[in-house]
Amino acid sequence: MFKNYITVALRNIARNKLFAFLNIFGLAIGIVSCLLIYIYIQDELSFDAHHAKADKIYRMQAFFKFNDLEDKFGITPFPSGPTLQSEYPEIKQMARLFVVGGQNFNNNGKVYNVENVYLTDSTFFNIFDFQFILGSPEKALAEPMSIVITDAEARKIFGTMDPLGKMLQWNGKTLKVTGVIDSKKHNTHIEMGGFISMGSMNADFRSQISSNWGNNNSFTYFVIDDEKAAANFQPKLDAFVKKYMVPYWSGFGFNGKITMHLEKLKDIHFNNYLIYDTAKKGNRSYVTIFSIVALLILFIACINYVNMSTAAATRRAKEVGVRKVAGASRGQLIFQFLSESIIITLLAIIISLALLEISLPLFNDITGKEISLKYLLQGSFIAVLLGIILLVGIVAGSYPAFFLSGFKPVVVLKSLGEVKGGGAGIRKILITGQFAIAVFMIAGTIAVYSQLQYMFNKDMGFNSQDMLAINIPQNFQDTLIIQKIRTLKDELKNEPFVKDATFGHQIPGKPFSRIVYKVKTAKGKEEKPISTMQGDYDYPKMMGMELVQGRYFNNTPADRDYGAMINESAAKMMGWKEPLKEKLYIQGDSADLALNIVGVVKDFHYASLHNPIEPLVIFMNDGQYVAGYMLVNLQGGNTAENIDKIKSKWAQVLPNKEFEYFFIDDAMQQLYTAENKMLKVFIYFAALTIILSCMGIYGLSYFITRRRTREIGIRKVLGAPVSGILFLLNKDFLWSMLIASVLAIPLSYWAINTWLMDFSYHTTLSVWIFVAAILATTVVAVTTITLQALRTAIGNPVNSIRYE
Amino acid sequence: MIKTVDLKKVYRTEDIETTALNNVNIEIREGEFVAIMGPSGCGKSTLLNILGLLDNPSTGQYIFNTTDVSKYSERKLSSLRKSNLGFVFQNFNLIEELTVFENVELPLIYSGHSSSERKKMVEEVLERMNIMHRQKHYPVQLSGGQQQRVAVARAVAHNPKLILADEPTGNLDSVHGEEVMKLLTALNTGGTTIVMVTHSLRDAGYAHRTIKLLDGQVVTDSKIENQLL
Repeated sequence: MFKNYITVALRNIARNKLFAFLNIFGLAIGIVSCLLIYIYIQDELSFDAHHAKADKIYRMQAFFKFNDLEDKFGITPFPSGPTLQSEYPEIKQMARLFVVGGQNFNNNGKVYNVENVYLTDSTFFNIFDFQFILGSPEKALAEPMSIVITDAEARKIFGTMDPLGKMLQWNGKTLKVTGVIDSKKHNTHIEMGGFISMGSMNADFRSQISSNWGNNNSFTYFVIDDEKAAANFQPKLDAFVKKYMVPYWSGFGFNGKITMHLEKLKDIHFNNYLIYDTAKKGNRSYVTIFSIVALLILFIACINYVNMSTAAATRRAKEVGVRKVAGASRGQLIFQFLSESIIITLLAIIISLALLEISLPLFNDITGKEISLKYLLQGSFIAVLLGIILLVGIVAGSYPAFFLSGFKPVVVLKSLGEVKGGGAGIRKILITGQFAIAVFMIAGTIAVYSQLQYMFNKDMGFNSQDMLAINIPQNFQDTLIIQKIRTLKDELKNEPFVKDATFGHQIPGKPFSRIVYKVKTAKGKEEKPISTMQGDYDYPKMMGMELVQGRYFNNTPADRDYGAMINESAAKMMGWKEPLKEKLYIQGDSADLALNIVGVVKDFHYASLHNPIEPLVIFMNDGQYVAGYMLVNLQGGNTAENIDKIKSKWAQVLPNKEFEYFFIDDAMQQLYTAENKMLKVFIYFAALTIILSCMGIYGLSYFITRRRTREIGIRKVLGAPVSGILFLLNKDFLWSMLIASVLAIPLSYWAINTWLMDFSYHTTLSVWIFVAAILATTVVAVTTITLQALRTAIGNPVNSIRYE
Repeated sequence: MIKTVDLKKVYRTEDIETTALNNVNIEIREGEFVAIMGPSGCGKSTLLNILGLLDNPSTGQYIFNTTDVSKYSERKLSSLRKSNLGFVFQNFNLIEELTVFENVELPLIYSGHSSSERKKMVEEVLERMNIMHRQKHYPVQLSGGQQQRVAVARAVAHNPKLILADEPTGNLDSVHGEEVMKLLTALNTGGTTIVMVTHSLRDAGYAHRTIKLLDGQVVTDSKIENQLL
């Protein structure tokens, strides 16, 4: 019997190629969206899941609360790990990653920059399971002057040579490569470049930071076997903070609250609230948005299937009648039609696998992942495929199955195979839903696009154009470097392609730290943590910060030691009427140091438009430490050529340091990476929604036009014009469109509005977004229907009447 | 074999009520060949549908093999149909996606015969209907007469006790029509009861008995007339 069902199903597909194509291809699009999302979620959830001790590993966090402000760090002071381990036996193992960031390594005179370098406790590779291509995890970091690098770095530095046992020069030390790990093998929150054994750290420096409780600098990981012990660990951490951290910080007059917390390893990837953390983070709301959109698309594809199956019912009615007369029960017919939809889903799956292969690179581009088709080989993926076959087959197949199997043989056999199309009500509801989703998706896309345009085009209040930022290597051992770089800056200033150049410790678009200032109030001196920007005396002026009161810095010792500028928000927060007469205080060695406010600048957006402009203090810092960035304001044009010129000058002055740079504009745009990704997702998914809806409307109007061929012929004989016929066929769809708009507008208004509320500065939610979305959907729908209807409408009416 | 008692069928729409059958009382014995005649709209097809278990009467009894089936559910009716009844329609009602062989095989599938049994039975009946050489063809590749022979073959494939034919020659020319009538007669001679709705006096001439309907009521029944004579 089943063979008979399959035969009929396949022959039906072969006979009704349009119907089959629309259904199978539509479902394939829906399924491939779901598969991609499944792979995406699977990848997100696989972060740090592969470690054997994954459920027992915890990371320590440090929170510093000050009035309403709380800064949460993923890094903690260097001594906190070993101290806790020695005091609490439930901590079975401990390892730290002391963050040193990007470092230069010298191999036979050639310099290589390696990002994400850490000084690492030897236990690290015993706690975490990383794939060692060369070397052994147990011994790799046991000796001082050892380094483990990733396979990518090994290839970069050593090419095809065997890296194991090779030597690398680093800060005057010679490191031996003792291991190479496969950084792509598993997903992990830890960004990997090089792991230098902790024993390689300068002894002086080590003893100095080992008693420093004020500097958060290390990721600290614990293994705690007992889950209960981990859950009950908080009071011990509180006691620890009280014993070690608080005495240290109160020595600096810090009155805030410090807490430490354990974070489960598997949660790290999704925890986004830390201000110092590894950069590669997951995003739960992405997972949610992607999932909803993918399900919507699959839903639309199912709607198409239901609509076309029921609209095409007249073709199957006779078969149902005959089968019933031949003794088929309704149950058998339901089973037959369900098997048919499962067969169609199966074919759709095969096509979707091909689509998956094609779309994966694009998907990786959008999501920033590197997922390969290796997922296909996993058992769980096969299970998901089977699940989709059953789910879609049954969800999309059941209404047509119940509908078709319900035909009365008496009715369908007597009329010559023509049955009044039933299920029209359901079809209308489903089409309306489809239109509503399309309007929602288009409105969402336009909204995300206009917000991004708003952010990119908004006047940030400072000069970011042609502003090149060059990373300055941080090296506390080479004091001569400061002078070399200063000389380089002065030389660059004389170049014709350079407008100006200066140094900045903090720049717009990159994170700022806050410094605790004291301000005189009626109640005495009050402490205020305020974001702080430091740079050369000419930094504020060169960045185009606009003065509203006072003056820029003068290059004088007075301004260097006792001058400060603030922005309008800072003045407002302090409640200062005449800021130039006020003072800010900072903690000095014996007494507070008073800073004179020499100027107030207009508020400018130094951080992303997600947040309101915070108070800002700017002071001069042009010598004691190496600044973070050299800023070069280029004349416009010939950018690549000019950068090359700077690069060659750099190489002359600093032959052992890699030249790294970026533009401030780009750094500012990177603040909106998430929104950019979301826009891409919306564009692609909105396009899919439209394509699928079009396919559905095309199929449906095809059947409707066919069914009404005779009516159209009669109307034409009676004198109806072509336009009248076209309107007739469009009318029902237009009604659905109207209802869909009424449904979609409030929903998308709410969603877009909620999303925009995340931005302190956002575009106005224009009514045109909705008008455009509705118009776009309507135009696409009417065009589709009209193309379909036109053939019948302009045909010879005699043919239409003869149709039956 | 079948008997109706005060059978009534009423169709209702929002505004009007149409009585298609009004107190129909007939009895048909096993082995009879009955023709039901009457003008369009007299209720012939409605009666045939009820007799064929495709429809329920509004009131009255329909006794099929001593059991009143007038209130049976669709599920019960379908199980009765598949073992006892065969249908022949004016418009043949062959499934276009299935070949001649597969169309004839259909009732055997639903009545649960094994694949080898089905093959044997289908071949036998196709042989009998002289259409064996067309078994792999699809309905559209056949002439009207051939299609109706396939339809008859399908109706008799599972050896039903009763065949219901609704204008079996209505779509055929006279040569093919006669061919089909001879087939039905042969089946009747073999013991199968046949109830046929027809407009054609010539076709009715093949039957042993003619029931005439007018406005939903039996106006003449040749059997009763014969008895009366």
